[in-house]
Amino acid sequence: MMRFNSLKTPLVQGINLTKIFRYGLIWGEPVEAVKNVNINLLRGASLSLTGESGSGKTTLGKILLGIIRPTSGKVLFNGIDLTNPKRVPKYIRRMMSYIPQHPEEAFDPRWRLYDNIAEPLRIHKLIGSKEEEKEIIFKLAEDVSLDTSLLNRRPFEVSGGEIQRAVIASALATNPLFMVCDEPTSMLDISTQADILRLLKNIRDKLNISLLFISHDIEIASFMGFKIAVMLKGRIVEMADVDKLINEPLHPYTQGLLGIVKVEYVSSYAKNCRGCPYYDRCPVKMLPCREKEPKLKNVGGDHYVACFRY
Amino acid sequence: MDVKALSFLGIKGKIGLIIILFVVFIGITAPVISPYDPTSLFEPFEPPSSTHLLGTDDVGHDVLTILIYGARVSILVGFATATISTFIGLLTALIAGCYEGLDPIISRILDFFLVIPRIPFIVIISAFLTPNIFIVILVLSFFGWAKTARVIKPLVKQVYSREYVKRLKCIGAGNWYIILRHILPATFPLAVAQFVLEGGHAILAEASIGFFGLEDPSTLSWGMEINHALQKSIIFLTNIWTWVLGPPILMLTITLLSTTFISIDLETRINPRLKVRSW
Repeated sequence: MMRFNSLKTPLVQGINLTKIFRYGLIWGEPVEAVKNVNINLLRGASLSLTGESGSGKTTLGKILLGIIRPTSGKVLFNGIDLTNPKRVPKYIRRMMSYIPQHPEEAFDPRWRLYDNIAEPLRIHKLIGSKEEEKEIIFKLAEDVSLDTSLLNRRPFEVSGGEIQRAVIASALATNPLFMVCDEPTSMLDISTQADILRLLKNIRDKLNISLLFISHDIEIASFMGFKIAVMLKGRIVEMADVDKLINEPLHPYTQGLLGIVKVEYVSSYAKNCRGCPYYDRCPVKMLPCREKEPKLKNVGGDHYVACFRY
Repeated sequence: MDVKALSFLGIKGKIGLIIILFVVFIGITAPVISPYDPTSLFEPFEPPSSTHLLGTDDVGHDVLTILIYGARVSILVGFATATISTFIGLLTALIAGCYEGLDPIISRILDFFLVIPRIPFIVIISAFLTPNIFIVILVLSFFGWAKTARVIKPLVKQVYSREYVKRLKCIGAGNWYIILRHILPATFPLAVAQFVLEGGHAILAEASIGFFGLEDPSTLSWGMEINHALQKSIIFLTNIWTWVLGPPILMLTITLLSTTFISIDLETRINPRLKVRSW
């Protein structure tokens, strides 16, 4: 078994992560999905990523899980490099889990919920007998308040909320330390959303899981995280504790998300702009914003912001 | 026969399956059910009667006996070719679909095999090698697998890019675990449809080789029988062709139709874009 570092050192560390997608052979324009992102996640801490669609939240989450290989940069999971997916030892994989955006896509449609939930256990050969497996699965189902009579059904025979509970149960099967939830509630109705969020929060607190919660909704993000990072065009533009960020947002984009300032409508954005990613829409833009990109800097009390005004 | 398996097929598929099973049955039980020995000779061009249900051909073989023994060759070629080419094709499709780096190379190899016309190539090969049923099977499989791989590959890619596969990779499942447990079951129905279609094509190709007279002359196959009949143009002056030429052509047509029926039926069930079609 590996030894875990103290609570002070980060469990997951992303250093200078950049991911550039290229489409096509010759004319394809490279897309910077994630650019120069540094991110740390302590053991048991939880961080929410928020931002508009296409801002690179999902890509960053997948890079941190080692599903996508970054173009440059490094991901360390308790000191072990995840950048080359083939070199990652299997027992490391047991400590992470992933809840995808569409719950109905998260399971093999041919398998019963029971087998789908049990699959992580079977991959890592963590169970001895069928009875033991059944006991564990039923306990997991109980933990996520999933009706055990549904376990014999297939994913398309149950509702979205039920299947999301099953996905969470499956994610918890191997007792992970690090969990990425990619908009787990965006496909559900409001009341089910609240249930699932409360469930995730309870589980996080009970099992001391480091949670990376991705949501485009800043309210949900602030409900789930201890810290929030706001992303824009692949960069983190502001990062702070929840209270601080909600009560005194510094970056104009965050202020726009929270509805503090009115954001003017821009019909088209400049491509590959050298300057600040928010230059087109910013209501308080200044001269240097156009030419130079602001760096993420600490403005005191663990509040990071990338804007020339601070 | 399992009733449940039959109920998976539609009416077209059921008809096709019954015909194929019938042909397989007469092929397997040929020595028992055929009225005469395939080598025994009678009067040539005898019309159908109670002693020779389908008459006799130009050398004096009993047509029904030749027809029953011909089913053996057709079924053997169809089954063996379909098995080999579906196996290789499926394996290639799985590798190409799941290992992104290998996909461009494998695709070019597939292109290469797809553009070679099958039957002219077999004609050339059979002219040089000893005409033998196993060489025919090997050559047919050699060119058949590429099409199967080409048809199955997109489905493999589609399943492989699904979110649950990413989740499993993140959990720590190996590539071959995912292929065997998730992707193979998802592509299996399409592989079965391809298997049946490939079998039909192989039967037709074998008959074409026989028709050109490039097979071992002692082979008892439907194609060879058509070839023998056509060499005697006298049969068209009278109604002899109805019993010498008609039965093998009819058997070939029915067999091909039934394989096509099964594969169309399976494909309409697998491919949602074909589901609106109702015929």
